[in-house]
Amino acid sequence: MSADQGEDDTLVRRVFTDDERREVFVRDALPYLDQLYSAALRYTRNPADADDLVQDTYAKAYDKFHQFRPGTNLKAWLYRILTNSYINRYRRQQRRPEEVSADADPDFSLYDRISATTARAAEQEVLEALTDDEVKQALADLPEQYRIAVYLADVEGFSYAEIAEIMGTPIGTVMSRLHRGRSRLQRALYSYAVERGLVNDDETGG
Amino acid sequence: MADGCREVLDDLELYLDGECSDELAAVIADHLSDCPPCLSRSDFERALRDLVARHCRDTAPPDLLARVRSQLT
Repeated sequence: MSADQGEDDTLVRRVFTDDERREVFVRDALPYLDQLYSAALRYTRNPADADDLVQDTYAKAYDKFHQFRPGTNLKAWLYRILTNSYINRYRRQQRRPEEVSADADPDFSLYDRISATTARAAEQEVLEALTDDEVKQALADLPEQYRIAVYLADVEGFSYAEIAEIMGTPIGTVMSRLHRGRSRLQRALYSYAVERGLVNDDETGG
Repeated sequence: MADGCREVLDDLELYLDGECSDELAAVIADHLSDCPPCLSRSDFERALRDLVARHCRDTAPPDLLARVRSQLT
């Protein structure tokens, strides 16, 4: 062990007795409960599993809290534990991870499609008319890796670098998942808009 | 579509995600302030991100906080 590591260990022990550690954890980590629950619900798509995943995440985070370096990004750290727990726990139940073929995944622009099929500038109105259930369902229907990336970027506002850290992938992979995930999301929202007659389908696109 | 528009739209996703350099962001912001069609598209893409953020948040069940706290021993 180097002298530096020794000093760090001493510092952590001095700063956090067990009671203090619990107090700091309750004060700093528990306020993320609603956010972590929302993410867990988007990941698992099921309230009972989301509930379990959040409990599991907080139990692991508390066990490992001595490893967390004060002053670094606690929210991203908690999301990393949540995301890893989800992947380890739920993906194990599947035979293989979902495979996504990029070949069969052409870009889709909701803006272009609405502009092309609607006489007046109604793009924003279509967005406003979409319901909570439709947007949630469109996100839920994305392949897992796209769903997680889009959620972390668009709902939580994490940077590409933070998402890469949370998902354990290179930044280029994050960018590609985000781009393709958003494209698929727009395709799903478009089909809801067509179903409800918010736009007229041009019947040319898939 | 003008070349200037094409270049801006190529980087629009990075720009809206806050992931391009300050220099590029300034070029894109300048173009958007001067080009209504690109601004309209940019506003739409931003509204789409807001839409997902607005509709995909939930609140934890009321007793979950107590259950999480009780396991911190």
